[in-house]
Amino acid sequence: MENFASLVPLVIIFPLLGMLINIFFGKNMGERAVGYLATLAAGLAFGVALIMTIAIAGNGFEASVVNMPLIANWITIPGANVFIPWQLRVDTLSLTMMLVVTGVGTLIHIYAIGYMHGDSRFPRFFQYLNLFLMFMLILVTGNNFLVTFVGWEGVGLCSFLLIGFWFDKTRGEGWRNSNAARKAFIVNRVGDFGFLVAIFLTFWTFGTLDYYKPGEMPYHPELTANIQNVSFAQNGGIGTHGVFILADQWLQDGNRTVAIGPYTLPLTTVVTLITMFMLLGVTGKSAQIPLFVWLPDAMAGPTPVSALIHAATMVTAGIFLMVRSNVLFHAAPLTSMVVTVIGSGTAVAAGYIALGQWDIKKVLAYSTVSQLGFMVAAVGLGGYTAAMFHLVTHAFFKALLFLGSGSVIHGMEHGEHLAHAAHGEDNHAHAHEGEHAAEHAEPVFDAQDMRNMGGLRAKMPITFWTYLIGTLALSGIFPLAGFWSKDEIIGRALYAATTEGRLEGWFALLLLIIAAGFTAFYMWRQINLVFLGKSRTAAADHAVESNGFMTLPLIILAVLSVFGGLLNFPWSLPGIAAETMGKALEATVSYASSVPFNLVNLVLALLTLAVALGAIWLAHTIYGKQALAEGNLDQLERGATRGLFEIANGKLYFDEFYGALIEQPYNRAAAWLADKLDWQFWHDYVHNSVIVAGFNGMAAFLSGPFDKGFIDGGFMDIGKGIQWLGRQIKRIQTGYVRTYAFTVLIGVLLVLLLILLPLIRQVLQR
Amino acid sequence: MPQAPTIPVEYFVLLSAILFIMGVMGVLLRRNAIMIFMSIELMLNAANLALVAFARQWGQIGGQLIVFFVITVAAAEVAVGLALIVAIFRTKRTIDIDELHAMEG
Amino acid sequence: MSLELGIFLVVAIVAIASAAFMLLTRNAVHSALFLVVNFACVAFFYLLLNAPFLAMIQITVYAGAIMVLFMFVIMLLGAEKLGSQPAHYRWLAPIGAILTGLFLVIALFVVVQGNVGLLKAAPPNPQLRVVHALPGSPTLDVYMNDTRALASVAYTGATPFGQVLPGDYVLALYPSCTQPAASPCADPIATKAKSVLSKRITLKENTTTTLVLLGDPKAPQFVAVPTDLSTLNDDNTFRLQAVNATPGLATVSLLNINPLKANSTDPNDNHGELPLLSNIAFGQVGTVNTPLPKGSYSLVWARDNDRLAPLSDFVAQGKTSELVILVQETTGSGVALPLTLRATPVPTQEAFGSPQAIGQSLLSTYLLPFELVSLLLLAAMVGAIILTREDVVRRVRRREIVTEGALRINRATSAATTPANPETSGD
Repeated sequence: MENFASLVPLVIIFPLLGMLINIFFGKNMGERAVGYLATLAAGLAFGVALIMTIAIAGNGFEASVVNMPLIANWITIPGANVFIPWQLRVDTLSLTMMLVVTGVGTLIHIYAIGYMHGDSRFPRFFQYLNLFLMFMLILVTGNNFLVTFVGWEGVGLCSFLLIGFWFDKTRGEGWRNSNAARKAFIVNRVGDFGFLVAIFLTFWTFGTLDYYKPGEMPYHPELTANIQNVSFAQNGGIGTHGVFILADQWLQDGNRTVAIGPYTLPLTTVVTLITMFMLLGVTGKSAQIPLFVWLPDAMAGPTPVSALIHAATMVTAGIFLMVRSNVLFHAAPLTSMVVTVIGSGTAVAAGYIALGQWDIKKVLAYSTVSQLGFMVAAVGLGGYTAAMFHLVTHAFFKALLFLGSGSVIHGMEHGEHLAHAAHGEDNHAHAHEGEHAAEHAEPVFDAQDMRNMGGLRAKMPITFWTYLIGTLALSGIFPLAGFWSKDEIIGRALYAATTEGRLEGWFALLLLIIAAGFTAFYMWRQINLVFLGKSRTAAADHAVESNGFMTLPLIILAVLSVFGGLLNFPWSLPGIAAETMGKALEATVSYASSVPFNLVNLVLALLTLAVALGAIWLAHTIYGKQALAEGNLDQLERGATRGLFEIANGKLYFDEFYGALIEQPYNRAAAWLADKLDWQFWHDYVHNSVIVAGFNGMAAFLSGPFDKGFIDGGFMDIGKGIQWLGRQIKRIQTGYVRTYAFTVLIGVLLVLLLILLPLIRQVLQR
Repeated sequence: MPQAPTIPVEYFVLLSAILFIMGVMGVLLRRNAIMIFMSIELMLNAANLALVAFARQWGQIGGQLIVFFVITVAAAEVAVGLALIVAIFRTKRTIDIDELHAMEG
Repeated sequence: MSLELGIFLVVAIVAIASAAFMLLTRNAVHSALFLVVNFACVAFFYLLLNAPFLAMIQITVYAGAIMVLFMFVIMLLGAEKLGSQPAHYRWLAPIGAILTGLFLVIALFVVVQGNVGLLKAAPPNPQLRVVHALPGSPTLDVYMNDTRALASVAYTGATPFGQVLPGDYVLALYPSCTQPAASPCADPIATKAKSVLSKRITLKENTTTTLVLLGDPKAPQFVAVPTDLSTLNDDNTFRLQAVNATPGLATVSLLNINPLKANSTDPNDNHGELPLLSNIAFGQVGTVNTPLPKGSYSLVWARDNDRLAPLSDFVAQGKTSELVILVQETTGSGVALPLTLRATPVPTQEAFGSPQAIGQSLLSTYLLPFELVSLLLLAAMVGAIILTREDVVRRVRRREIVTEGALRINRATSAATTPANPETSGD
């Protein structure tokens, strides 16, 4: 195991190498080579992760810590006793994430080769993708909060770069794209601030940032013995134990306090603070209320990006972090409650908003937010395994759906192109008319607007069927992956509500079931709008199936979406042990106790399934006959439900709320500052009056009195003085020999006196 | 060994000094190049006298030898110097050194 | 006031007066003549100062050759008098007078305060030689204070004189090494070998000592003979000393036999025998008080009426110091055989300032300066000849002495700044 775990730096180095090669040689390599290389880098990383997974499975899930080559001691301050090594942790949790990231990542790389074909900055896209993979793997493999934070920030950077990848699009789209990138970046900063404070507090409290020191085993509630064996001889264990072991021990000790500035707080309070700040970071990265607003806008990026970063991997970093920090969250019931409320609230709210979206990717984006809400709620409820399970399956089917939507968009754009070409040929005879028409601003064709679609089922069969599988999986239809994972979360909520007696469990149960219904409903609405019925535009009519690069990942992901549930199947099947994932994670996640599956769960599962099927039926009744009402209106936009639809379409007015609360005051303050401070004070006064005038004055002084007067004049005076001196000395050179002789006489006398000086002194002293 | 001096060496030194300053005065005051030359010879002689006096005082034959050399050098000097004077006279038609100040700065 | 001082004062006054006249006379010819008088006075002072050779040179070279040269030039150029142009730098006269007066004051000061008359040369170091007059003793090395000094000395031989610093010395004699150089003998000092003779002696400044090794070979001893090397008044005389080195022979006398009167029957002539020294006991030194005239002598030692060891062909040079030693060798048959040894004659010092003394120094210590001065004289001769050549003078007159390069630069600069001015550009 040790040997295989030591391969872990490779999962970071492979994408890095891929990126570097593409940076230096990408321009000359050609599209295919660039794409293949980047894909190879991701694939090799996946291979390494796979090898390590197999190795760890045969080794009793024993975690290991590997020093990163070269930079292992990147932060070492001996004087301050600060030693934060760059260590990589290989355990079931990080391996799960690695597999998801590299596996889905590889598929999306393949997909992107087809999707990004012909893009002007094709190599750069793959450089970014590889860079993202590198940072994501740093995030998941880090053995301490700081390394994780490096990855956290790195993926944020890549997210920014990739959302704004098409910043140069015309007709204002470039602006929208770059604004979306900025929005994502800025909103994430709020969350990162929280994470950073959490890191500081952790370091202050525990004196280390390492999750576990090398050789330490996570503490397990069932195996209380192993914590007793831990030696806490020196310094309360600081320096020899990781954060989580210390936290477990200290919390068990009780009455432990932490001095923060002038305050002395109980350890539990501090842990609550830490987890609260961490939660802030999670809401930013994983797009939860209140910081979810960036994710839908992030769909401005290329669809593979949306699939990889904004559905499958990066946004799940928050979930990963919370699962990683399960010891802390478990010790902070208040935070857990807040997490649960936020998660389930987000799940419902985002699901509701998704009902009213027209943009095919926006629907999926809100769906992602909603599903992330499921996971967050699962963490809050203590279902760490459930959260990770849903994370994995969600990665499968949401990546599938995004890629499918990308395929649809791609097809639509092709269709639009083809339709335009046909139209242009038709109108070739009427050139004048064409020119005239061109003068009128043609409404921009939106290839992502579902109102422009319809009837694509026949045009793009592979896309349709895979998309359908993804939809059903997401909706939680038996026996697809989503059913199992989602059901586990809901079962966990019931468990929390009943067995653990947590009030928020009921709250979460209710909201999550509603959210599940919403999910099935909006997904079926989407199927209806996009694939069923008749083509509503010429573009949709001309749409074509995408090429193999794009359809192959769809098929693979569809298969994974179908069978993903086996990863954590409640019962053992031939060749597959029951709860594979849960067992594996239990080795890493201290409080990943699974809920025993019983009849209540079965009933609940059937109930959830019924809700989903009911929602699908409802959606089919509403949208089945005719996807759109008259005037391109949604079926729900008419009559009594109009208000509800408009609220959903308006995204619950979160953007407007933030606009009024933050953006407007901020803009007004900025405008005031720009006008008063910058223009009037800084430019007009400081620049013009103080700096310009002062500079001119100083320059005038320096050039006039100083340069001309002092320096020039000084040198002129020196020259004149030397001239004068020369004229004076010249007079000595009379040319008359007798004066020279006289000079010699004086010299002789002086020398004589000098020689006789001792004698004279002697005589005078006598 | 030299015989015991009957005339104190101071007398010779003093005489030498007097002759020397007379030579100096000649160099400083006379304008005739040949006169200046002869004054220089006078100074040389004064110096020689002092040297010989001290040679006897110290009982060192070296002093007398230096005088020997001085006389030789003086002969050389006179030869070259007079040749120069002749050349100058042929050029300038005068040996008044006040007339010869082409080196004036 | 002695006569010598009186003469000195008179001549000094003449010298100063002639120098003054030389300065004051407007006619250069007169000046030159006064200068000759002055030089003659200086030559006289040289005589007073024990420098007769220099005095002669002064007269011949200076007063003669050089001044004649001056006269020639003055006459040749017709430059006896200058025109009466107004003199420049009139202030030079008073200030020069003041300064030269100051010079004189300094000289007076030095003479009065500097104790010039008390300055004396350091007395010469003691000189020492060893004469080997011990029959039957091997060649010996001389060690002073355990350091090998002087040269090896064999029987009948003498080392040359060596200078040593004054002071006490332990003088020891060891047998010389007769081994070949490949296998040198052990250092006698290091091996603490027994010396033939070891004696403590004191050497004073300004002394010249001959140590004679003599006596019984079983009990050798040193006899210190003070050797007088001071200048002889008469160059044709020499000094004679004799040492009796025969332990068994009581007192002896040294006789000089006049061969012309050897057969004379006149009792006053005493067979031509003239006692030079008499009654010299063993180890005693006899010194002939008055220097003897140089020439051939026939010496013989006498003990009472015995005539021992005659030395008939004794030829003495002038200006030397001679030493004869009577020794008694024992032949193989045991017969004692008296013998007269003659140590290497030592030349006495030359008179101070004499041509010989000057010549000795000039060709030894001062050889290099002498050669340099000769070269200088040669160069001056050549220079004088070249300088007075007509074409050189003509070139100087045309100012062609300025090199072509300098002229070109001058032309270029003057052309660049001001219109070429032939008058100034040549300067």
